[in-house]
Amino acid sequence: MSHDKQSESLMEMFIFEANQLTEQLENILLESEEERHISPENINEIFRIMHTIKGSAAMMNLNGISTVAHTLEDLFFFIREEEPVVDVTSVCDLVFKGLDYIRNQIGNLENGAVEEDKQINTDNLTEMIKSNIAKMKNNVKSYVANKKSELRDNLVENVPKIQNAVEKPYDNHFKKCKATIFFDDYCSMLSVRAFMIVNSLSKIFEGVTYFPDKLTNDENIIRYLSDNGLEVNFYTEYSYYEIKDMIEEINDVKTVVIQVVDSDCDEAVYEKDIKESAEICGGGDAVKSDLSVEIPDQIKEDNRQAIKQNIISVNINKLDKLINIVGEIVISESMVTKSPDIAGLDLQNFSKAARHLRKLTDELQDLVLSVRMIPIEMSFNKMHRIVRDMSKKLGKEVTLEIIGESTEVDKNVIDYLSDPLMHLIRNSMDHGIESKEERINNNKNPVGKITLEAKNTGGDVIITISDDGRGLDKQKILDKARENGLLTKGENLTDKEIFGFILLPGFSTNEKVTEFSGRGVGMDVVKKNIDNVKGSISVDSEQGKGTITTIKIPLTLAIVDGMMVKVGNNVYIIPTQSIVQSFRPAPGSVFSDTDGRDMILIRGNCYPVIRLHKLFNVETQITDYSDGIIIITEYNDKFVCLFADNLLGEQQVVVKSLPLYLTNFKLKECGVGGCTILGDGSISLILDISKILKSNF
Amino acid sequence: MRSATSEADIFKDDTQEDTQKGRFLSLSLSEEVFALEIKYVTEIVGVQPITPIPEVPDYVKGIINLRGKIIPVIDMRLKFKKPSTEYTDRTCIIVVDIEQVSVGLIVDNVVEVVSIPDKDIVPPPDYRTGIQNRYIKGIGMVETKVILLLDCKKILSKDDIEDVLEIQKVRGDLL
Repeated sequence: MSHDKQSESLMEMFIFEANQLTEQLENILLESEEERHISPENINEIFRIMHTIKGSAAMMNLNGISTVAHTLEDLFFFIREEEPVVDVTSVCDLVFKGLDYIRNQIGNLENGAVEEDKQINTDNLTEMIKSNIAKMKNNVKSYVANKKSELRDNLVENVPKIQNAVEKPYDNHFKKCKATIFFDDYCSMLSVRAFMIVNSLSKIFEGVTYFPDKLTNDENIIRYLSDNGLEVNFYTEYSYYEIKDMIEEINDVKTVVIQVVDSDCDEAVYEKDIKESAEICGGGDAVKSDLSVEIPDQIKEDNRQAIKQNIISVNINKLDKLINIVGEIVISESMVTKSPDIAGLDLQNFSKAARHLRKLTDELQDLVLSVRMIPIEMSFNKMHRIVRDMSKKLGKEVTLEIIGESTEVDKNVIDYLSDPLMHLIRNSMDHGIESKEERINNNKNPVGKITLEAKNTGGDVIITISDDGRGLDKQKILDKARENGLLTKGENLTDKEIFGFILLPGFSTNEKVTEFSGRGVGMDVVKKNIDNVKGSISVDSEQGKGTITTIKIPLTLAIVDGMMVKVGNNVYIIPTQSIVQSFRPAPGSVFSDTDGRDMILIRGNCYPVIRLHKLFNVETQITDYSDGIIIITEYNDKFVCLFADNLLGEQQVVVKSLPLYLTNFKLKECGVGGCTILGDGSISLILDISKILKSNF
Repeated sequence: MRSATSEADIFKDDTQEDTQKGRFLSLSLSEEVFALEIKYVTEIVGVQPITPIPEVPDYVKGIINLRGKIIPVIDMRLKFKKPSTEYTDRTCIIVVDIEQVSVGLIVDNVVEVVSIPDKDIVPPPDYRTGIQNRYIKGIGMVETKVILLLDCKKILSKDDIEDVLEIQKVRGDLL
């Protein structure tokens, strides 16, 4: 049981780490591909990432991932060592393939699979990578030969220098070092510890390789580790003392023997040199007979956590609970401080303490809400990959520009955003951007451009996806709409209404269905997802110039800025974002049509009026329009006026969903979006203007 | 981790079921005495300010704020089609939790907790035509008194939706 628990949390850690690394890797690849050059830092970074994935996957017994990562590591090791002329695109393609495989497997694991999916064959992939390496090897053979002799020459020059430098005996660049690390005698889980050491060393040093090269929980390996120690080879420019200090810092290490070797030189001969120079440096420093360094047998805490982990992942449910509780605290705080029992009393100390409490609770609330806000960057960055893959398949050259990716949005909202963004980008790629030839013929830049922009406008986030493609064909949409019998309002439509048709289910003007789009499902899904987060979407386009899709979504679903309105004894909350205006109507300004429906004329527009007390069946004294107040509300360019008794003021409220039992009834449909608890502990219903409009018109 | 908690839960449920088996909370509604299985009852509170909600049958009086938890309340008199009365000091809201659905039941009075062994419970007569007894699970005998045992699940069951639809139909006809 406890073992299961441990391996489960290990697995969770592995998945979390692997996800982070693959994402990082993808960004590097995209960047390199754009620059058409893989910089040495990036090569090292990719190598390191692959190395970490390989190691941790092997530890989790995920052989497929580990093999793929291993071959990729080989590839980059080769690229780094031999510096061949690299065909960036083909290398990136390969790595992307490997990455997709790893992602796929991790996805399976995330969904609860215990083992890797063995059906996905890795042989093809690894073969491909290997043949690529072989190809490159052939190209560089002669180059390597030159380089080797060059290195030897260098070495000959360097050796005397080493011997002269007494303070820092190995002060030439990047030497190959070999460290043999012995562990504390009573250390358990040697392979894990060894792996951790390798992991942390590979962050400091370059090109870390180690023996035994498979750090699994195999008994033989553990025995080898405890008897012979862990042998780590690496390149570094640090001095001997610095290396010593660094390795000493690692826990569980009893002794370490460091030797400096050089890759292209006869090891035995060079070791002798080292011994000599070591003696020189050792001689100044009293007795350190050989290069082994005794590390005090201190029992330190496990250093695994110390490696990084500035970010922790928290279950979203826990966060939701936290937010709810903080909401309660805010309410109870005002229940206490505004308690009728102490009203009118002059309690100096109490009010001082209460003020302090209020300040803290406010701070707490802000903080908790900000925890849920994450930058939209993640969703945006995924689009790079889609653009890349599609531009390859479709043979179009497209650049993706991202603006405002640091805009922060509620986690829930982001979850709903990924799919719509993907669909929209695909649409732009497939239908929007023309083929290269067509663009040249139309005097456009042959490279298409898609811009993804996010900006924060107070309560909303506005996301625009624009392309400079061919735009929407108004006539085509109209024809299609006519065909499907959608033109019920006659032929005179605004542009917005015409483009709105493409958001309807099953509406596609594309003649043929392609791999990416054209089934007419996409835009419908987009709209549904956006509706789910109470957002709105609109499309605008100019033929020949491009299409702009604008998505407006609320910053958060948990908190709403609302206007409190009184009807009879009840208080309702109307979200401020849907309020246009409120006013006290002049006597006689509201009139009724022949069906008894009320309406009002404001600035030349006629709006319907709904009496809230009638809508919700509430008793109130105020039934005459001139005694109450009219609030004009808007949703998606549709307007409705609500008649209430009085306005009580604006407040931020924490939205709570209606109790489960009430889902049996048609509350939502009639315009109650949720409820909230007010400062005095009473409950208030939050109105959903879109539903009021839907059910009444 | 997950399996640990679920195991603990099962264990907890077992012991609770044992001690709570055959224990009922009796309550009065006009002349009759009813009883609920005690395992469903989470707490009993006095009448609180109720926020009415639209578009629900009349027996759903609204929602209350129970220490930050929002709970719908049902007037049992109206639910059982009895004449309603003013709420008094003795009126109680019994909060029941059935399959994670929390509901408050407004009753005239809570009487006591009684133990009724299985042998003292008889099934209700089977009226094929009527629907009167659909909320009654059995009839219990305590000394000489008769107690109607309520079927909590049925009180909150989806069958109620039919009622709602009925009401809406009637309303629609009226309009």
